[in-house]
Amino acid sequence: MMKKITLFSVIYFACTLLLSAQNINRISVHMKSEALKEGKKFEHEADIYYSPQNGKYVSHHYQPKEFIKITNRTGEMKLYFPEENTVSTQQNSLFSSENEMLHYFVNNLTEDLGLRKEGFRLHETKNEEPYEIMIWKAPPTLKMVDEVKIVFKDMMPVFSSYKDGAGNTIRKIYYTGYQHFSQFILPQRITEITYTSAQDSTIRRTHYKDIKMNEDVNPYYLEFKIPEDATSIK
Amino acid sequence: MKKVLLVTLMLGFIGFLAQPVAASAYSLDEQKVDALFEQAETTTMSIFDETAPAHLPALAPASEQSKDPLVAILLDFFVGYLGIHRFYLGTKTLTGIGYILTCGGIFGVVPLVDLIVLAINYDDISPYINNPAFFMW
Repeated sequence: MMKKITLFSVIYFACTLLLSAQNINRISVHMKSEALKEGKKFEHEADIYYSPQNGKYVSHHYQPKEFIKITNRTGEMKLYFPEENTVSTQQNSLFSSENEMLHYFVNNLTEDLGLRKEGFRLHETKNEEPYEIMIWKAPPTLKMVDEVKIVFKDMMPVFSSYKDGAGNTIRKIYYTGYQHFSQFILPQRITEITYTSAQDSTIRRTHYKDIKMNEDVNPYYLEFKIPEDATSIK
Repeated sequence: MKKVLLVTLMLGFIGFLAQPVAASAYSLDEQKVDALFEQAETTTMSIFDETAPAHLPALAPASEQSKDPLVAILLDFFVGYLGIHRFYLGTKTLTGIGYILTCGGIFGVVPLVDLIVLAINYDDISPYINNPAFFMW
């Protein structure tokens, strides 16, 4: 019974937000990502532009190297390097804009964070005040991950963890600093800890800021056309 | 007055027992993480220097020829979950396919670590060239 109530609550909350999300034509965020391993860090910065209505997703990466990535729902991905005026086109469903983190939050698909689409099945739900917990089992084809736990607080995912077949936690993700908009919610900081061995781990944290919507979004990148004279590279 | 005090103490004790799950179980000590990042040394960005080819090349078959770490990093960054950077660096076919079977979609655990390892060891990626192990690091 508890399982049903939990599931219903999460889905209801998501559906409510989903209806209001239809009003978003475009959104932009600034992303800064840092990865840390063995005392060394690697930084990456980009501006992301996303149109939930047509699924167009453009990211302008300018640190450490400038390039523009354009993807759509079908998985067509174009990488454009302005300095060299070169473009690379790839096609794979895994490149779909619907696999992007922003897609899940802006479209209020946070009840499973894309797990169902990846073939996961809901195994268990439980309540540990003030948290609602969902346990998802991986499809048999996914050898490396056996189970994913998603923890919700106030209907927002605050934590998820991945376990392998031996029951070892291989990854933890913390979602913090939620910013509430009328149409959706978005964590401003996502911290991922990946355990590469019993003694070693990698930390990656991503900050989202300068979130803009609709008329406030600079339309340049969502309307960006790759120059026709760009040299195509494989 | 004693009764009030007793009831208060009892309520406090019950409240203590009925405490919710320790917040630390699902929350992060952000200050600790901040400190780790502050102490870390920023990896040199020479990987994207002006002289390096800034594009994705055609996938070269695994061979003894020298491999460009920049290319490996870019391939990992964009298509790491397909294991294409491992094919580029040279590995067993099954290892590359293993990436597709185990790390597709949003589960880019291994490619993420590969990316960092390649970035950190940019000056010498020879241990990762023609490396047949699933975990190349």
